[in-house]
Amino acid sequence: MVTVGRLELGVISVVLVTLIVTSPVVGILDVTERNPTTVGDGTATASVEQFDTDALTIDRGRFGTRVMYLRIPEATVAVTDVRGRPRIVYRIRVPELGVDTTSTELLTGAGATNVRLGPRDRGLDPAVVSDENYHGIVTVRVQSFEQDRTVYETNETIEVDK
Amino acid sequence: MSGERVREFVTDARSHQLSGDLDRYLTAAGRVVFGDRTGVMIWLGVVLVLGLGWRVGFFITDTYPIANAVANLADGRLAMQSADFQYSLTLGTQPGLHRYDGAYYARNYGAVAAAVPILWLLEAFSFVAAPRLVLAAAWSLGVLLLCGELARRLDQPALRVVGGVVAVVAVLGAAVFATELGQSQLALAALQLSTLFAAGLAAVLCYRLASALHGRRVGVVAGIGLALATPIGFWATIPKRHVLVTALVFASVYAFTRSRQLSGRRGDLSLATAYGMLGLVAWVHAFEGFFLTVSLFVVDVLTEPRKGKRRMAVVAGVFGLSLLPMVVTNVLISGNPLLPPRLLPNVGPGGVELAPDGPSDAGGGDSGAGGSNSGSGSDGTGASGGGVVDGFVQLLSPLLGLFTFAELVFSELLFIGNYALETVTDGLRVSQEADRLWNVFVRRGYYEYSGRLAVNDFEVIDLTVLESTPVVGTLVALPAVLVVWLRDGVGSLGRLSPGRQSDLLVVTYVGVLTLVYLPRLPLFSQLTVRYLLPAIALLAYCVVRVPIVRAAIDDAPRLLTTVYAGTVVLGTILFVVVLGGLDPGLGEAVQAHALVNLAAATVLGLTVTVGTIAPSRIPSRVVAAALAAAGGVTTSYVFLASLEYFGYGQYAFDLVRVVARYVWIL
Repeated sequence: MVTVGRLELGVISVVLVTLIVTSPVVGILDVTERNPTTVGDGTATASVEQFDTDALTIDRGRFGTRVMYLRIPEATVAVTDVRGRPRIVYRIRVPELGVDTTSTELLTGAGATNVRLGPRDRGLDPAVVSDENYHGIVTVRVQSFEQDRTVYETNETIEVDK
Repeated sequence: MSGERVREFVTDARSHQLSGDLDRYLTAAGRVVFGDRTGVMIWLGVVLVLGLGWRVGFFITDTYPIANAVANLADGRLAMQSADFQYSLTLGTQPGLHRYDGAYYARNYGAVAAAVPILWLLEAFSFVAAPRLVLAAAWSLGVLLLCGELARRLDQPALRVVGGVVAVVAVLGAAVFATELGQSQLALAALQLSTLFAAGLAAVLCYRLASALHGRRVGVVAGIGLALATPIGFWATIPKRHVLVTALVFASVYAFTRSRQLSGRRGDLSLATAYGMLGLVAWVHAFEGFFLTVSLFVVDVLTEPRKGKRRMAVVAGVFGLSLLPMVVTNVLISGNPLLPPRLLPNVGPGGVELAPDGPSDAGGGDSGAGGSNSGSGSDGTGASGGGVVDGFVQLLSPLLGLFTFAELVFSELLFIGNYALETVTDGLRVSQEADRLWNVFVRRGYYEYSGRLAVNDFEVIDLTVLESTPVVGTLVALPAVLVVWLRDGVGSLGRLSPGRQSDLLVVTYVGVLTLVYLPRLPLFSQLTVRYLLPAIALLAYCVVRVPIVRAAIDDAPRLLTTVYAGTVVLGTILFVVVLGGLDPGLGEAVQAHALVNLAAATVLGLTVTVGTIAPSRIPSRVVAAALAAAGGVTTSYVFLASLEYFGYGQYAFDLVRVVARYVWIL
């Protein structure tokens, strides 16, 4: 019969054993190596599966914010053949409004996967947004220390909905 | 042979005695800080829960110099050179860095010093284990401890099993998903832990304060509520000074209240502690300390005009001691005991709030320079003079030195007094601007910030007092409460009950803290009006001073807990689903929370007001539900702010990162 007291002792042992096994002094297991957080060498095959260009607009902020917003749709990127630690970079530029913003996703797993990414909607000075529409460029790239390859590029006219 | 055994026996007995003594001292120290086991559990629970939202990183740029100071002070360096900077925004820029005599200094050294022992501890553990796993292991053991105690208290043995499972999942999950946490990050992590621990302490002291007046149940609700249902939760792991100051302010109010309840030596010590905590506030922020001390002094004298000599001596002694850390720090930096680093020339961008203007404008800078000049002046006299006069001057020089020092202190006090008067006058002037008050206390939304909206990329991320702390909506009922109170008779100031005297102090603290910051508000990047955080926290405590709220807590604790938990869980899910569907920008999401919180505050305010005027109309359960809902939506915001809205750095606990990936609102 396992008592609750023994269970707690067991938990404490698990915690201590984990600490010892992962200790850099003991050097049995370097757990952080498997979970990199920064880009390195590598490649991947990527293609944009889904990207709703109609959703790329400028409109007025809700909930009493009263600023203007550049609405940036997310993209779904199909990724295969990941080798090393490359990353996907989604970049959108609207030169007339001084917008240049990116969102990145580090690829670590080896298998085929769908990556969903996109920068946050971008707040704009309501006094600056005066035109009917603006010109924007969206690119999606696979980037690593080895290479920087554009897999998607589109020029869009962004309507302003005042 | 037998002599050896005797020696062994004696050594053994001594070490036993030593460890026994240590045990006793630790228990006594624990009692002084936490009060009882419940206090320890509240602290642990708050630290464990708010720790989940902890991101190791810089949220506000003024944290850079403070973190650098922590790293340097832990190595025994107060004065920093540019090579000593471990953290930097971009090369060389750190708002809030000061320079004196060729060296760099941070400010808020009280906050820096609080983090140093934690850094030593982290470094010691990290010497033998991976820092990331040390944090996870500590969290796991904390959960095990908390659940064990809760299981015993609530008589629910199953909780121990739950605790064990959570602890194992947390530590194994940490091992599986661990990312690198470099040694260089430890100083920042220690600084963040120090404010997290302070948030726990604020909750404990609020619990003790409320318990001292209304018993344990109300105390527990007040303590946990302070940590989770106010912006304390938001700022717990963002290492600004506000949470630490809040904890010290609560300690001061609690000690003051006890000083009115206890008699004799313990009463004297309590009153002295009330002042002593403010001496420590001065170490963190000299001017906040100053204004609070004056407030306490006034309330203390008003409510207890006659004091015994012993009482005055104890208070003066302890307060003097509590000022020592600040004085020593100032002397080590500039040589002037009353010149805090905040007043030294500022390097880099960023202004200094609640401090007189730059040192070129007379005041602090001038007197600082005056101090060093007078030193060289007397040297000059000694070299050029001769004969009898010289001898006489040399004889008097220690006296002259004392005189110069007194003059320096006097001029500083004059300067501080002038500044204080100016600040309060300013505060009184702007407190009549309805527009400003509306924007600080009620509804902010879009606000022109005199053109500074660009600082936050046109994201309207600032909340008002009521938007960030809807439980404060209760205080809409204050006029009604006052009328009822006046009807029942007040008595004279000198004969107020301990609770009323404590209320008077709280109101004075809130008033003064609000008044001195009001001219600078509304300001950008305040998020939850953070300058007012100690005042907001005190207001949140005032909620349990309202009789019908207390009655609701006492009558319907189960409903209170259920509605709160339900609002947190369902409310958060609802926010994620609804807002996720609307795909808002950051400012929109924050303002959506603001509107929901305002609605909760309004419902609560109306309920409590009507309940106070006509107690028969509103059952306790309704008040409890309204209070719980207002607290719940705040907790929801605190969680989502960390999980989704304000991303910076990396989660201290990697499991949270894995979960947060599935929260997709913006």
